[in-house]
Formats: sequence, C-alpha cells, structure tokens
Amino acid sequence: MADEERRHVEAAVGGDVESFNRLVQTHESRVYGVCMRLVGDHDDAEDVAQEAFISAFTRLSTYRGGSFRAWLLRIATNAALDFLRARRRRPTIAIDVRDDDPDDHQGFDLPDPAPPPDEAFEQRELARALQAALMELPDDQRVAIVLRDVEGYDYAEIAAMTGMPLGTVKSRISRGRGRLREILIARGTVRSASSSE
Amino acid sequence: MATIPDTDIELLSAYLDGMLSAEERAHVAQRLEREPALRAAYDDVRRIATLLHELPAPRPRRSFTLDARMPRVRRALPWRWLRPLQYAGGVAMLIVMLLGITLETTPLNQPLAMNLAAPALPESEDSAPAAAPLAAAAPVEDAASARARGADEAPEAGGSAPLVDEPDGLLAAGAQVIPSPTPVGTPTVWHLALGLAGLVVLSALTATVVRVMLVRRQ
Repeated sequence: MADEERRHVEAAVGGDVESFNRLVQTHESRVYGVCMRLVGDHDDAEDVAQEAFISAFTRLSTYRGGSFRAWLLRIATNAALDFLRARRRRPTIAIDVRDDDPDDHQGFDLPDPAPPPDEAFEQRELARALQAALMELPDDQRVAIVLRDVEGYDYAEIAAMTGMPLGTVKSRISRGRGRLREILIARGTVRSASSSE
Repeated sequence: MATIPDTDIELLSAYLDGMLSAEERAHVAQRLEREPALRAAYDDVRRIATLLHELPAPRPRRSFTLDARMPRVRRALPWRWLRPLQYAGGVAMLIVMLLGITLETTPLNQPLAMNLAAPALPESEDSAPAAAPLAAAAPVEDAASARARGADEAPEAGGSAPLVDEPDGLLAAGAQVIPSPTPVGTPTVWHLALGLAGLVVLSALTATVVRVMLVRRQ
C-alpha cells in the first residue's frame, strides 16, 4: 500500500471523513465496476457501492492492514450478495438485458474514440449478452468469475476477498466458466470452436 | 458443442490460469493435442474469459464520497472516541471486582492490628483480661495519638501504671503499642486504586450514556 494511502487509512480510522473520501475517490471506479457486474443494473450498483463505502467507513476499525482495495472489494462483494438476496425475496420486474433501446446501454460505456456505429452496436450487444449470461450464474460462481475473468485478480486475492478457501475459488471459477460456455454457445453469442472444425 | 465432463472443465480452467503442477500441465497439454473436443472446449473457455476481461469498465455516474452529516457516518463518529473509554471502563470494572475479592478475604486494617497486637497479649493478660478482646474488636488506633494520650495520662496514673481503665481499652496494662503502618483516616493505596477505578467506571458509564443520547438524537 502506498504511503499516501496508508496515511489516509490511518486518518480515516481516527474518524477523518475527508481522508476516507480520498480513498473513496481512488477506488470508487473499481468498486462500482464489481457491483455493476454482480447486480447487473446501474441504479442498483450505485446503491450497493454507496452502501459498501458507508459500511467500510463504519467498519474501519476491523481493517487489519494488507491491500485496502481487496478489503473494500470484500465489503462491496458482500453488500452486492446481500442486495441480491434481498432482491430475490421481493417481487421485481426482471431486468431485460435484450432491450433494444439504444440509449439504455446498461452502463457499458464504450472507450473513446468511438468505434464505427456497426462495431459499436456489436460491442454493445456482446456486452449485454455477456452480462445477461453472468446474471444467470449462481451468485457464488458469478462472484468468482467477475473477480477472476472481468477484474483479473488471481486465485489467492479472490480467496482473501471472499473468505473462501483456494480450492473453493478454483472450483467455482471452473464451474462458472463451464456454465457460461453452455449459455453463450446455446444462445449463439459465442460460436463453439468445435463447430468450426 | 461437445459435452465435456466437469472434471475436464476444471482441468482446463486451472490450465488456463496456470494453476496446475508441471506434471499436470504436461499431461493436459498432451491431451489437448490428442483430443479435438477437449481442445475446442479449451478454446471456448479461453475465448469467453478474454471477452469478459475486455468488457469496457462501467463508469460510475456519480461519486460515492461520504458526507459527515450522513446519519450512519455521524453515528460512527462518536463511537470512535467513546470506545476506548468504554474499554477502560471494562478494565476498571475488572480491577474493582478483583479488589473486592481481595478486600473480602483481607479486610483493610483490622487483621494488621490484630497481628501486631497479638504478641503483647500474654504480658497484659493478668492486669487487663478484657483488653485483648477489646483490642481485637476495636478499630486501629493511631499510634502517634495513642502515645500522646499515654504521655498525657502517665503522670496521673503514676509512671508505668497499667491503663486498665482506659475507656477504649486499647492501651491495656503492659500492652506494647506498636505503630500501625496504616493510620486511621489516611488513604491507603487500596483506597486510591478503588477511587481511581470508580472514576473510570463512572466515566465509561457517562460515555455510554452520551453515545446513546447522540445516536437517539440522529
């Protein structure tokens, strides 16, 4: 952890909200990204991310050093899982990730410079299809896949973030990948390498 | 799409992430060369992982910085400075309990007086039979004041006359007055410790009450 970040953490532990806000600004994109991938909706992801940061501030005394980002992501992941459990308990309108409204791009902001319209459309559709497939995974597998394949954390980091043993992480990643393969090939989002042979 | 057993998917996933031993890795590499279906499944898994990794990162539409006026943030603030005091209160409470147990088995000054007076009893037995029980039951006499009183009364009683008629019977005839190390009215270390612990407990209780009031006010 950088010295500056360590100073901010120490000040925040002492109750300095401004120092904590510096940490928020450093990590909010990453935290929000994970929340968005886990809950699949912009508004919900914002609520979950905000809840995660408030929760982190109130629980700063439980931070025991190490990667502050990993600690934050652990809180964010738990907040997202709590949110998903609560959402399942109450009746909701299903998120239609196949909505063709071009203005509703589900948060998949495209990198600049903007690609040609056709390519942009394809990218957007692919992103939607991938997010929809992610949302069909069981929560535990989705967490593992998002942290590994989307965010790029290694197994040990994921184990630290989720509190799962390394073997469980490995198993959830492989089962998630297997299930994603089935979903995406069945929907034609990804063409299986076996069909091209 | 060929159906691949879960165990093979697990192997391929671990192979992709470099989580296999050298021996396992060599074994999987050989199988990938020999088994087209396994190779195709591996390519699928690798491609999907790449697509996921290349997903554009969603950008937050707003910042998540906290405001010290947020109820939960405010609630967390007083707790931070009150908590050490409350911990101290817990420790102080423990000290009070330990002192209580100690004092229960060893009363503050009485046993000390009894022990000090005991050697003098045989000598004073004849002239002052009632002195021993009185001395045992009486509060500790300040040695200095006892000496002073003895000096005042000595001329009337005739030199070393026994002090049988002393109202409190403490200075019985022939009794050796042994200076007490803990004179009556002087605070002992125990008293100070008890007082200090009591103060800390009181502070901790006050801190708890203040915190509850602050939380309720929000």
